[in-house]
Amino acid sequence: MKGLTQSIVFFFKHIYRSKSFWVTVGGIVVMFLLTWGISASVFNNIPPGTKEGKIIATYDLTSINLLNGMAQLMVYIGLFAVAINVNSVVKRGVLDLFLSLPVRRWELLTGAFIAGILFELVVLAIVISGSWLIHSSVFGIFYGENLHWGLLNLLGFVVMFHLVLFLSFGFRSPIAGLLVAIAYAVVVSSILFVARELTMTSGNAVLRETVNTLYWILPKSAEFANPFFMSSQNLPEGHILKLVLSTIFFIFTVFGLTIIVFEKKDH
Amino acid sequence: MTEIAGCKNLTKIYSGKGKVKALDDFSISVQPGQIFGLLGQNGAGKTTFIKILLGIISHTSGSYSLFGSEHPEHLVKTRVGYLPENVAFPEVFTARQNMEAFAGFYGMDKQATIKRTGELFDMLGLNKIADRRTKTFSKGQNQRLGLARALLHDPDLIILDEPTDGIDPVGRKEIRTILQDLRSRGKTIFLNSHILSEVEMITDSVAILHKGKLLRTGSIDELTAETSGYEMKLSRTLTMEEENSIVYLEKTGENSYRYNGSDIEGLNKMIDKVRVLDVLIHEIMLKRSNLEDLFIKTISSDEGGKK
Repeated sequence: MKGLTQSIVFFFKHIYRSKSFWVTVGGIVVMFLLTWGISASVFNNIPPGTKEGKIIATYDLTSINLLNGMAQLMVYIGLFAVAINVNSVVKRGVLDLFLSLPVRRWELLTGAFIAGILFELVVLAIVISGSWLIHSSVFGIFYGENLHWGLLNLLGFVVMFHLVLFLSFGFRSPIAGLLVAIAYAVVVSSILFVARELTMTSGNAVLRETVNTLYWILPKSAEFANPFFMSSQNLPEGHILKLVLSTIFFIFTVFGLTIIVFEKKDH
Repeated sequence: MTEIAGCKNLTKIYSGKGKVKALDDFSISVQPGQIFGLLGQNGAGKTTFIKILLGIISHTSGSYSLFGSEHPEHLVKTRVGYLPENVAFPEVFTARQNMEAFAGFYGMDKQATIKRTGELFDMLGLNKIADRRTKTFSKGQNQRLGLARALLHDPDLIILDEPTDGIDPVGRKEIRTILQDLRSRGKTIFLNSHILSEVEMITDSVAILHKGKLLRTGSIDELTAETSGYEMKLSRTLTMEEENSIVYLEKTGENSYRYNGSDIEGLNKMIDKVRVLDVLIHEIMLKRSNLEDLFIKTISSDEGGKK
C-alpha cells in the first residue's frame, strides 16, 4: 500500500504544480461570479410584496439549477485538467521512468485515478459550497439540504468520468476509452434512465423505489446533460431526445479526453 | 560468484502487424562490481532486454534474473537505478522537485533527499538549473538529470541506456569518471551504447547483440586479442610454397605480411620459420584491434554468413 500512497502523493503534486491547476482556480472564480450575477438578477426581479413562501420556492429552484449547472461545468474543467496532466506523464521516456520504480503497475494507475478524483472532489466541494453560500447570502435564506444534495449528486459524475478515462489509460488507447464510454452510456446508463422513466409511475412501490435508488446510486451519463440540452421534462419526447443527446455528448466527451491523454505520444 | 543480472535463452517476439523477433535465444551474465557493455546497432534489441529485466515488458520465452531472483518482485527495483533512452521528466516540476517527487517511491525521507540531491547536482553540474522547470531543458541537461535520478537512492545496479547521448565531450569525460568511481565503490553498471570508443574505455565485459542474437561476449582484452595481430616487413616476397608452410601468415602487400595471432609463443615460432627460409625481418609491429574493429568485423561476418 506504500506504493499506492506514494503514487497518490506524486500525482496530486503533479496536478497542483501544473498550469491546469491555475486554470481550474480561474474557473472556480468565474463560477462564483456567475453564481452571484444570476442569483442577484433573480432576486432583484422578485416583485415587491411577493409572499415569503414564493421567495423560498424561487430560492430553492434557482439553487438547484445553479449548483447543478456550476458544478457540472467544473467537472468538465477539472476533467480536462486531469487529462492534460495524465498526458504529460504517459510520454515515452517519462513512462519508462515510472514503470522502473519499485511500485506495482496497478498502484501507479490507481494512484493516478485516486489523485484525479480527489482533485475533482476538492474543486467541486469548493464550487458547490461557495455557490450555495453566495446564492444563500443574496437571498438571505440558508437551506442546508440543497448543499447536501448538490455534493452527493455530483460524486457519481466524477467517479463515472474518471473510471472511463482511467480504463482507457490502462489500455493505453483512446479507442478503448471510446468503447468503454459507449458501453457505459448505452448499456448501463441508458438502461437505468429508461427503467426509471418507465417505473416512475408504477404502482409497484418496491420496484419503483429499487430502480429509483439504483438510478441515484449509479452514475448516469444521461443525467449529466440536464442543464445543457433539455431542461424541460414535460414533453414525453423530451426524455428520448435528452437520452440520445446526452449519450452522444458523454461519448464524445470521453473520446475527447482520451485523445488529449494520448495525443502525439509514442507509447 | 552470483550474477547480479542475466538471462538464459531469452526470446522476445513483438506481436501485432508483422511479428518482430527483438531477442532470439539471448544469454548473458552480469557479475557484481563490473561495468558491462551491451553493444549493438539501433534496433538490435538492447533496450528490449533492459525493459524485460525491469519488468516493463514481458518476455516470450527463456528466463532472466535480477539479484538472483528469477521472478523479481517490484521491491527488487529499489536496488536498481535506471536511465532510459531519451529520458524525459514530468514537465511541471523543476529539476529539484523531480528528484524530491521520485525519492518518495524509494522510501527516502526529506532530509536524505535534500542532501543526496545536493551531492548529485554538484557532481553533475546541475546546480545552476536546479530550480528551472525541466520543460526548458536541453537533451544534455535531461540526460544529466536522468543520471542524477538513477543514482538518487544509491542503487547497487545502475542500468544506463545510451547515457552520453546529447552530452558534449567534456560532459562525457565527467560521466566516465563518475561511472569508474561507482565501480570502485562496488557498484555494478550495465551500459547500453553504440558509442564504442567510450565503452572500450570503461567496460570490463561486453556483449555484441545483432538483430536480437548474441554474437560475442567476453572481456574487451579477450575479444580484441582475437582480432589483433603482428605486421611484418620482410627483405623479400615469399614464394607461395613458403607462405603456405607458415600457418596464420597472410600477405598484405609488397614484402608485407600479417601474422594473425597475438600470443608471443606463436609469434616466436613463426619468426623461427621465416628465419629458416633465409629471409630478413626488417620490421615487426603489434597491431592491436579496437572494439570498433571487432564490432564491425563481428557484425559484417554475421551479415555475410546470413547472405
